[in-house]
Amino acid sequence: MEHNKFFNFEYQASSENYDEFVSSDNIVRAHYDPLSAQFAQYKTEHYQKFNEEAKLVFFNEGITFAVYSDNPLGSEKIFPFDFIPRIIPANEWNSIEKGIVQRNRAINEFLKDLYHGKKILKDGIVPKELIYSSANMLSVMEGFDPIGGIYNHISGTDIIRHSDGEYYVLEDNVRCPSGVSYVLANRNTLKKTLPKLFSKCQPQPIINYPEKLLEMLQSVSPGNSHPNCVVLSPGMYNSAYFEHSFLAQSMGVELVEGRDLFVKNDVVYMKTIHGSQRVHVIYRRIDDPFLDPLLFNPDSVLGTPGLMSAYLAGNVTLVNAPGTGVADDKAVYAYMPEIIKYYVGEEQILKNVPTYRCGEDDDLKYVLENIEKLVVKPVDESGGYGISIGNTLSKEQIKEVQLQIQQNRRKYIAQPIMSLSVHPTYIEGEDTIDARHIDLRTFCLLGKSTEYVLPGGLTRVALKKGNLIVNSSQGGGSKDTWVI
Amino acid sequence: MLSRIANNLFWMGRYLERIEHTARYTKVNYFSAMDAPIVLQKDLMLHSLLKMNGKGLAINEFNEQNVLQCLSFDKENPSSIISNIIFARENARGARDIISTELWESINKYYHFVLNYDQESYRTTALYDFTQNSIEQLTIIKGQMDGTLVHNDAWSIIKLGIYLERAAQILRAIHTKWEDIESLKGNEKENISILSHQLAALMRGLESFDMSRKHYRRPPNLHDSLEFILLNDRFPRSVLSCLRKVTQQIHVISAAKSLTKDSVEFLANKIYARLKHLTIEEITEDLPTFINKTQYDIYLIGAKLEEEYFPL
Amino acid sequence: MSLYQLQYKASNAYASQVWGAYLKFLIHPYSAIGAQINKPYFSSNVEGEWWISNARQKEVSDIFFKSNTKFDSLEIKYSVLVDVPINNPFEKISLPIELEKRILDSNSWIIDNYRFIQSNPQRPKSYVSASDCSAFYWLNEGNLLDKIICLRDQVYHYIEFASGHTNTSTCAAEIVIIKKGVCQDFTHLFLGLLRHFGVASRYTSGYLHQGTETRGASQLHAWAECHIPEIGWMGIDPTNNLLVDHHYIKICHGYDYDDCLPVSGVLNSMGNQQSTEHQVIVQQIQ
Repeated sequence: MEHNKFFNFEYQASSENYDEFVSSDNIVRAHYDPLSAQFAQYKTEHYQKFNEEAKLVFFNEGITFAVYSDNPLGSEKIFPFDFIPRIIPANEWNSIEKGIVQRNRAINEFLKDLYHGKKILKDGIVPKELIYSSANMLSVMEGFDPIGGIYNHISGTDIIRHSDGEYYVLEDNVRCPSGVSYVLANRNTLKKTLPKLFSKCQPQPIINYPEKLLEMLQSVSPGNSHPNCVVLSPGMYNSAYFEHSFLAQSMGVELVEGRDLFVKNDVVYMKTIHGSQRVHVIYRRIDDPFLDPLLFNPDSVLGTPGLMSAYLAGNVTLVNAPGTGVADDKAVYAYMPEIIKYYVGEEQILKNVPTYRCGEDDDLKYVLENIEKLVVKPVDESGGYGISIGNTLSKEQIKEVQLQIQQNRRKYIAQPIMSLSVHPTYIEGEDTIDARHIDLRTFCLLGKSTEYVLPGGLTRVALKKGNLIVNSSQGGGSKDTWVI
Repeated sequence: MLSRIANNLFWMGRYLERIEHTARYTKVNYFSAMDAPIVLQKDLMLHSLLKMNGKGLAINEFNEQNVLQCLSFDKENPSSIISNIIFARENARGARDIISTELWESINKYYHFVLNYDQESYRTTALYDFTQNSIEQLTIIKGQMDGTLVHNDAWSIIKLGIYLERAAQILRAIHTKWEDIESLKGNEKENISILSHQLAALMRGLESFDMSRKHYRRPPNLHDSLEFILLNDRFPRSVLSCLRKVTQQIHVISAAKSLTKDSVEFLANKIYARLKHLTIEEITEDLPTFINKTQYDIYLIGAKLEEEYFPL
Repeated sequence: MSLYQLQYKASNAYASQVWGAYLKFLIHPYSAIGAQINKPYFSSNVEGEWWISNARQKEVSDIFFKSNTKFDSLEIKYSVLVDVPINNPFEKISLPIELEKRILDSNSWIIDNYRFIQSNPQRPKSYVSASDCSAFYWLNEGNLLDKIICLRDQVYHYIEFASGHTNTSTCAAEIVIIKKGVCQDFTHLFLGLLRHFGVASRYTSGYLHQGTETRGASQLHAWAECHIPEIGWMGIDPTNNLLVDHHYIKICHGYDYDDCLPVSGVLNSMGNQQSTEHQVIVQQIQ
């Protein structure tokens, strides 16, 4: 067959998964035509060259992430980048974008309600037990009104495309979602690697993200026309330090650590060589328990004593607000369709994956009996840790998972095994192009009167054949994402 | 600039400068001991290397290989070359947004050079290669510093670290050599050729042998040599010149601040002025006291600088 | 109104030198329900800056102390004038039993009080298990306040007031066994039982005027507050077997002692061995 030699390779379209690139009858989808035409001109040597060039750009610019390991200093790795871009047609994207805004607005209203009247609980839409037992519900936030009424200023909604061709939200991230710097770095790299294709397709620009981010930060400043915004990082041993430093630099603001700040009279200052300088907005990339040793973890050296007092006195804005973690809990996820309907009065635009809550008796029974058909996830872990995928487990492992669930029911949810869509991906070492699973992390900004969704987002790709886990800490890579 | 970043830059400067002095002192003294008059045995030289580095070794561990290892590759020794480049790189990494890519890469490159160096060959045959390469790579790093950074606060703070450390290292070298000479026995001490051998090692260790000869146009003597490395304001490896540059750089970072009696700028100016108006005759009347006092002055400037601009 | 002069003194000795501290004191009176607070004054043997923060809640004020100096002992004194409105707990009238019960059973009552109604084994200081409760009984009839008072009497008689047997980390379950303790212990056990029986109740710390023959007046005192429909949060003191009146000057409340630590903070030091002494003087001026 001539027409499946899209890459001068026998590209084998996937039969059981949705292939982003070709339809089930092996015809290139229309929005990939320009890419397909361009790539048809290349040979293996070209691919090798593109791959090497892209790697070199990353290496030279020091775009790395740290891996937790036995080595206390950790080690830096280049985030693997695949030079074949993922393309989302603009009409599909428009509805995704609307869905993301709708969803994150609803989450914001949900948080506001939880920390005020709790109407959604009183109306019985979300069971109260779900919130009460959540370690992420912060009592100090009760009754507090963040500036502009915004809690989840920055949200990372993870979206997949299932074998039915529909997009589904896999999870919400409203604490400190990371990854946006790779989106910008990927775009930058691909522009250098494939300039011709780039100018032919003209994907929607993402270059102004830092500007939009700064605009959003400034919009929630506690009353100052020239607010001093900073990025607060745990320091250079953190896995996302590159991103913290990248964002600070591209916004032109200071990158600080907890020890650079101090609080006096409920006001936050940073220590500079010319004395102290007031800070108005903190884009914090450290988790709630580490923000203020006086209020949370007394042993934390990452935060700043008195920071929460300054925040609750209204003299500094923390982005995202403390206590947002209660909303991106995977157990709450299950109620998202109801939550959206309750606050926005509309049906959800983006679908939720059906979710079984092990805390509920009927669901638990189903889960225990059908583990091999399900993905079981702990509700409070990130980075893909602690996930069991039913169809990969042995009998003993299934028993183990059943036991784990029963020991701590509320800790687990289960979902049907979703089949992530696949996308042509260059396979290093084999010099071929093959289908690999992908997902999409999107980035949404909510400010006082601003909202912005980064067109596209971070397409993560599981580089191991058949692997469904795309996190960078588990051997995933990424692709540039084009909205055309 | 954040105080913490300033602190990183200052110490990066100090660590880098230490490496250069350790490498050169080791190289010069090791090789000069080879053709030294018989009484200057190897042991004296090895002791001198350790003293310069501020490190002691147990008697049963004292041998050439251990001494050399300790100076360059012992991670337990905070003054070893490997420790210093690790510290310097950590500090550079913490200030990565402030320094240029070129400077970062040159530091990183030297870091990998040291970490990957064949330590066995260094201890046996490649001491020259390692120390000479270290000196040269440090020159490149400093070139990148001056050539690719904006000469603003950040640059001034790195330079402050370098000049303060250099002044301290010069004094330390003089102090060590002085003790070497003092440790010689009565008639050896009078021996001109032994004395001039030690002087030459001191001056070469500070890259000031040729220039001082050209300057005085007569065979080297103690007086001339000390005057050159202590008081010659136009020679970049003299204590006076370092202190002048320290005062200049402090002036840059103090910006519009008025000069108060308790400021580090006032202190540095005072110490510089005092040294500038000393003669070598006054100094050599009691050299050890002078060295001690000046070392303490330099320590004070460093401590006060940290306290005033970048406390941690 | 009753006008009091409050004095709080604490001295801390540290095993190794401290260079710099950032401390938070929960010793400033609670400002709700008409209390008027005047002339707060904080002093210390160590040079530093202090300020009153009113960030946490409008009614609770943390006092912060920040110092960059070196020290190995820290003495602080705090004094303040507070005018407390006359409070007669016996004037408070409960709702009719049926109506009260309906409110207590309503979803919205439970949701609004969720922080203080749940038994939480993760916070063991005021947690008791069902078996720990077997020595106590809960009245089946009457108003909530009557039931609470009945339980208070039982706690009062169950524990022997004695210091030296417990400390600030003693848990309610241990109190059930050793049956001795001080005001924190009375309060923790009382809270554990209250929550077991579904009463929204919280730990309260404050000053107690020593005019009457009461226990716990020379230190910061502790008692419970229970949420009762129509009446609101009502103070109940199991240590003295009393209802809280205007001799009690509240500082703050929380789930248990940990939310009301009189001193907490961050010290820059190598070791953190310390010994602390607190003293409280409450003088009635009018």
